[in-house]
Amino acid sequence: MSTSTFSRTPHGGPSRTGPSPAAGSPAPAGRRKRRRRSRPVLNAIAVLAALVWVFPVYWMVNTALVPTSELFTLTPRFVPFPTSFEHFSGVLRDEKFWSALRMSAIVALVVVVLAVLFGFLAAVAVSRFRFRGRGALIMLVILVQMLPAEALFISQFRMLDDWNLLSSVPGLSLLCLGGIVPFTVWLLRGFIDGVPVELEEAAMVDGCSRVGAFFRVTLPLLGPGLVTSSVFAFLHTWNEYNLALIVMTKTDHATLPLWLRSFSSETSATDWGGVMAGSTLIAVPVIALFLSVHSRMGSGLVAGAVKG
Amino acid sequence: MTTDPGLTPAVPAARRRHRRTQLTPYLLVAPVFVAVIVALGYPLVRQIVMSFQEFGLRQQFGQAPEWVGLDNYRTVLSDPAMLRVLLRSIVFCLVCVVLTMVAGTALAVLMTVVSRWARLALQVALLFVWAMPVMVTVTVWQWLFDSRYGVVNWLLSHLGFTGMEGHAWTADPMGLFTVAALIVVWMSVPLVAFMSYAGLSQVPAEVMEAASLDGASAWRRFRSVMLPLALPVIMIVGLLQIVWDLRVFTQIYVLQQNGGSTDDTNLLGTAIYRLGIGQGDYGMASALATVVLILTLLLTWKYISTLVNQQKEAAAR
Amino acid sequence: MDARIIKCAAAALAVGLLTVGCSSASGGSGESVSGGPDKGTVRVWFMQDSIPQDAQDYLKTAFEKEHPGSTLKIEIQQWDDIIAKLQTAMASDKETPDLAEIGNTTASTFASVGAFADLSPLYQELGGAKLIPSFVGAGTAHGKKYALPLYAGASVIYYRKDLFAKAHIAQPRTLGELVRAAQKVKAANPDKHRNFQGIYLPAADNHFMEAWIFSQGANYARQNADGTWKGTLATPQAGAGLAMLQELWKTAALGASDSSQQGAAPWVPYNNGEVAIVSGRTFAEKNISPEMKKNTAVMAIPPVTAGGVGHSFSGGSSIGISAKSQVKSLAQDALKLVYGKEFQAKVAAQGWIPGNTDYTSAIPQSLSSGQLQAQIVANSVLTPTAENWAVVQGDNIPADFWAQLARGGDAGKLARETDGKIEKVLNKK
Repeated sequence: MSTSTFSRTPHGGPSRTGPSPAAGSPAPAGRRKRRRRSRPVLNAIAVLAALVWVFPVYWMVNTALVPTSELFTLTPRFVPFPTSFEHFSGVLRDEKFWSALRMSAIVALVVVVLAVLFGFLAAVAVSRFRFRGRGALIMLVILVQMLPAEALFISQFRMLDDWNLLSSVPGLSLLCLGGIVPFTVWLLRGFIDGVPVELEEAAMVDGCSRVGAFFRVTLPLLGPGLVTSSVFAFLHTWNEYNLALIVMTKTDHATLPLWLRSFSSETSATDWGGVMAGSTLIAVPVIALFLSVHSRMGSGLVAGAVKG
Repeated sequence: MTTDPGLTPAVPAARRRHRRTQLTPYLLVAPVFVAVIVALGYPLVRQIVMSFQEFGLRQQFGQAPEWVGLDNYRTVLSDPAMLRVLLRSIVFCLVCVVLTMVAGTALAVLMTVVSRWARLALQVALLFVWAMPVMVTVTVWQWLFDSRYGVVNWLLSHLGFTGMEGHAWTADPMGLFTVAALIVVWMSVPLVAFMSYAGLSQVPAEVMEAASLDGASAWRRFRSVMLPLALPVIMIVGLLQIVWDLRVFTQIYVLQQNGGSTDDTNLLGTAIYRLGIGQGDYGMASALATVVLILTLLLTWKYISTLVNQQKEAAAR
Repeated sequence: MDARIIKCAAAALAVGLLTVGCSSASGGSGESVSGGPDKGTVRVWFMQDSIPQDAQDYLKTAFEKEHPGSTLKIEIQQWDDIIAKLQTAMASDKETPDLAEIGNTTASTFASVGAFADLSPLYQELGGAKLIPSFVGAGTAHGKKYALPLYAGASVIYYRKDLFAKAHIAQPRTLGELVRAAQKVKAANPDKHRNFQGIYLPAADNHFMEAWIFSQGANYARQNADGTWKGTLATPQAGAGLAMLQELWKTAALGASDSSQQGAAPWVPYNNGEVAIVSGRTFAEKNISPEMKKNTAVMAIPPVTAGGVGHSFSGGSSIGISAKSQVKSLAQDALKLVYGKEFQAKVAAQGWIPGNTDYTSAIPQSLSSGQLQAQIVANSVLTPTAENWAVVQGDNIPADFWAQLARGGDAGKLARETDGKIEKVLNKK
């Protein structure tokens, strides 16, 4: 019931004026007055929560910037001054980092493009057509999330082995794609639902073909949806560890999460500074991506979710 | 229910089309369908086949597997340790989900009431957390909880808990689960907070205003107006969290490697992994994985059917 | 730098060719491991930080010189999750490494299940009785030799001779004396260090724990006449070692419940001056800070009664040819280079005991002499060489046992429980 209320409110169209988390919604006057007294307190709580959440991230960067000789002191170093870039420069000089970065980027790119393309096509079908099996979608999304990956990857390995796809971008991409694409369909479908079909029909009256109308009218409104689903697909692939471990048997095909293991070895203890510098560099592209699109994602998430 | 005539649902038009085209939707769905079948469906079938076989390392290296019928299932299900693993997983999952949902929704509500700059600070912090890869997260948290050089013990011992100096968190089951749950909650909250916030902020201002004029208290406005409207979003996120937290693996596995109480800390994910890769008994691991899958379905069945019904209702309108 | 390596490699090459010439002249008949084309690529998996770069370069250059048109590709693997990777990759015709290094505790499992090709016909030619015997045993299954020793690292004890002198403690000659030394140095605390402890004794360092029962003549399990295994932790011998450990933890030890990551870096608390005694493998030495090194002496893990050295676990690796290798005869030639003088000497130069103990003299002089290390390795004991031992490890059974012991659990009860768990796994068909 409430679902329909959602999709029809003036705020509901994710494709148009979807509220961005950054912009926020204007508070009505009455509420504002009442809130005035408690607002400084609430602001303080919000900032405190932000600090608590961001602290481990800060600690990662801090550790990466503290010289190794000072890491194992009984009083932690809370600020990275004097700063040492030994860990970062060590990572940046490591050619294996660059080859892993390249590999991760390629696989992520392939998966993002295919997931969004395939997901989009299927979302169109689910949103704009009625056909048998359409309702199975949500089941598929949930089911895929439920599969215990820890047993599946033996079968996945044997399958790729049979098909000569081990240690290859297509092999790893295929497995990552299968894991994320149902989620992509589900997200995008919410967006397409949000664009009234009448808009397309109006364009068709003006002489567009149906396909043309779709591309000219609906597609441009789907920006936030495409962005959101790309980000999810990217994150999924960028972080994949177990599958990459067994699929990429050749060491020069290692992805970033695999490369990160090179900091712990049997003969020398975990190089915490190096791991943290490596981790920071792995997280940077994701954070950059998030920050650049985050205002569009807020509306993206809700559109995907409310449409079930 | 307010109805905006410009935005009537797409269903009638879609129905009209249904009669004209039969093949198109299937063609559109085909790539996704194929990708899922190839990447997951086919391996899943192989896994289920394996669960009826004696399939260990010898078989992996070339011996012909032997059919053993339901033996693997019988062994798995009659093992009291497995029952404990199962119960532990459910409890761990519920604790994590509840904490995550409460914290996430609370932060979302907080975002709706604070000043713009405070909201932005909170959102950027959460984005940073969300962007952290799992492996990285676990590594960082291990470092935070390092018994001697970790910042957590340092802080606690300076706050007066002198017993915490040198405390090895992951050595006993409760400590390990505490750290693991903290990691899981910490990294899941951002998604929940963003989605809930997106849901809450779609509550139309007029509705809130009306409620406010009616003299509803802040709590009542939240409970009776905002929450019901944002509920579908929160429910979906909740379901995803349940499913994800039931199969949490990396966090537990990495912490377990410190040794201490593997038997007492195994959850479903690590139990499957230790049976399969650890013991090289893929047949048994497959059987357990299949049991887990069925169980997850049973546990979430009501939840899913509610969602599916919601969807059907929406479609029927 | 590069030029030097090339020069080295060139020199090595000349000698290497001679060695190879000899060995192929005396060549045994290795039918079971031969086969495959005479040109191709040999993939070699070495673990991170195991084989030094110059030895790798030598192997590649010498092999490719000897086999024009063939290449040898060395891929460095990480220890984390290597078991998962070996289990999958070695089962694949196309993706298997041809030569694979494998940790010596998992060697017996992989040997038993048919992951490696039989090397028995090559055994004599590759070194025979000169190869570290306990490692050969670990790689043997069903009477055939599947994996041979690549290198071993001796476990030693480092201690602060300055603190020992100030507290008037002599170098301990027995395990009992080691316990008392730790207690005395702690009581004296000559440097007045805050929270000072005698010895760094993390239960997570399983192999150091094992030395305490191995030296007592015990092990985790022994094989019965009928081939089944019996857990032996709940024996008086093992019990004596466990009691010593628990006494230390109670009175003079740091880090009982440290994580395995911390336990892998014993030099950290040692460099901080937090403890006077640590155990470590010989490569730990390069991590001891220069100022500490001046005050550091080294000794073997002592025996129960004075004289000789105790029985410790020597960690290390074995190497074998994958059963799925498509280029077995080429891989066999590469393996011969590995067991040649050049390669073995370069491994020894890194500080390892090379697989062939004849080349131990090439271990550079350091705090611990090559002679001491060789003596330690000669007295080393392996964990049970049962097919399922890797499963015991994979289940963290030893790790959990030591951790619970360190937490002050009842040693007798824990030992009996663990014996039961070990028997259950080892005797599983």
